[in-house]
Amino acid sequence: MKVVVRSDSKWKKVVFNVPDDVFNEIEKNAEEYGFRMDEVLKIILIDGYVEGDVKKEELKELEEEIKTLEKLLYQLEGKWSPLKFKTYYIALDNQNLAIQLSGMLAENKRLRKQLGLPLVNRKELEELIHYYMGFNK
Amino acid sequence: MGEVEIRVTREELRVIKDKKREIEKRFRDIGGLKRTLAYLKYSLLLEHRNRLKTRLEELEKKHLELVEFEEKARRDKEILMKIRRELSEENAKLRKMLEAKK
Repeated sequence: MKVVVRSDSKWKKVVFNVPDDVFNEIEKNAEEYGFRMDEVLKIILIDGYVEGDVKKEELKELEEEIKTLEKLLYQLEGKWSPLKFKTYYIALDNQNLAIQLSGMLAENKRLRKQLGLPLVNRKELEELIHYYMGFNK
Repeated sequence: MGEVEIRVTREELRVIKDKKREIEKRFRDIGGLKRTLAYLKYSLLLEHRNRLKTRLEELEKKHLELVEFEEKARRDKEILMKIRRELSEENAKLRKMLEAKK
């Protein structure tokens, strides 16, 4: 196989005559490790080889770990949307309740004043109302 | 003989020209290529694994927060409904008392 390397200039090129069996072997390895042929040729032509030694078992282990993580992520994402949806509607119900209660509390205070009755301390309820009134849709 | 063409920059072509013999050796060194591809694949997978781990940790944290918020909202809903019932009764009673006073 003739490997022709060109730059943007039409006339400048470098040619490598690679025996077909060697080229086939390169293609086979590119496929095995999941690289495109142009990426592999650039490694050969430009980047060069590395000294690092990775065993097939290490690659397999890492691939297995990735599969497990992807599965976990998929499961969690599956739970996430329905829970978010359910929680949103509960919080929205609470917001409506808070609006109603705010009006009822105001009426209660007015009635107690008119009747000369002592006002009841409902600080905790007021805080809860305030919390859900501020719930961001 | 088949032909395959590859494009590089001018600077890269100049370096390739200078290192032609070295590159020819590399073409024949299938063992070196295998080692390099295995190493590069491992590095890419490692990066991918780390991204997945980070994403999973973030989502687990968010999920836990959401579960806690859902529990709180559910409890609060019961409390708010109970108070609404009580306050409604109390206000009705107070309105009657005010009517009677008039």
